[in-house]
Amino acid sequence: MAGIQINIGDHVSHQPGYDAIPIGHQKTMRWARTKAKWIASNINSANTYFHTLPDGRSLSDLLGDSSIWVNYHATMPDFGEAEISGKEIAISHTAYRIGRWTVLATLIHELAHINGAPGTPDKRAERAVIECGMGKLSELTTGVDDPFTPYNPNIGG
Amino acid sequence: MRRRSWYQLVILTAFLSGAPVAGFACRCLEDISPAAAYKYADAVVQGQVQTVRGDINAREGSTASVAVSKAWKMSVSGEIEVLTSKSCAFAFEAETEYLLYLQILPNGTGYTTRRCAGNKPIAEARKALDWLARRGAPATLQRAAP
Repeated sequence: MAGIQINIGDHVSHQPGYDAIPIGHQKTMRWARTKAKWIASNINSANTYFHTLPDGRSLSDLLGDSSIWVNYHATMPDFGEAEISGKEIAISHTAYRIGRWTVLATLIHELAHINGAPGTPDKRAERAVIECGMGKLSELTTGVDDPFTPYNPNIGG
Repeated sequence: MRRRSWYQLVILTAFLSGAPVAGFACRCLEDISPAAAYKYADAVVQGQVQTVRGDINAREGSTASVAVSKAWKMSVSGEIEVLTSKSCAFAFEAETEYLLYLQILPNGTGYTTRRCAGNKPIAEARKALDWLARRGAPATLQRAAP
């Protein structure tokens, strides 16, 4: 099935530090990709929100784009990074260390950047995590993090 | 005419394949604790930004010249240059005093920092300064060579 690709050593990114996902993390990344597709199919606000981002693509459309690559970054202390309106995503060892829901939230956040969402101080990329059902509106309105959701109002990018 | 069209196609392809993206964006926790910021830093300094060169949105980033008044964790020069670039770059403002959490560049020639490293304007750094007074290891400032 065509769709965003996980770099398992079959892709060389033009971005320095963007490497193949280690074997031990590939299962987590596959889970995150599968879950993201489930979200796109089952949570209406996900596609609706992604349509509002600068490049106007839906989450389903992005997840079906086989020119988008998800890589690994072994040294970055941040959770992830992406080219704005580009094709390359890196998810870091930091996100994997926290767990698969953080990997999934980071994938959604970075896909929002791929869809044109600007970086800080703009908050639209992290808002995508809420619109995909991984946070509470109360966290958004109060700015207080609920540690039981992957969304965190203190996260920028 | 056909040759010209082929040439234009080559130029267009080269342009598109190397077309710069608008920039980078990262996902990071902006409000980290003083203890975590200290742990991840190679050096911590209090200092005044003298000048800022470059553009954080450009690939090469920007470099701030910083006059250091205090240091912790590692001895540093009284005047240092701090690079910030690409993802999660820190937006330095000239003539502003900061508490900065620095990492040594991989080539060992200077320092770098990021937006989510724990950096704060000194006016907002009371909590971190209190933590450093209690738990930080003070370091000496090296005099610049004459």
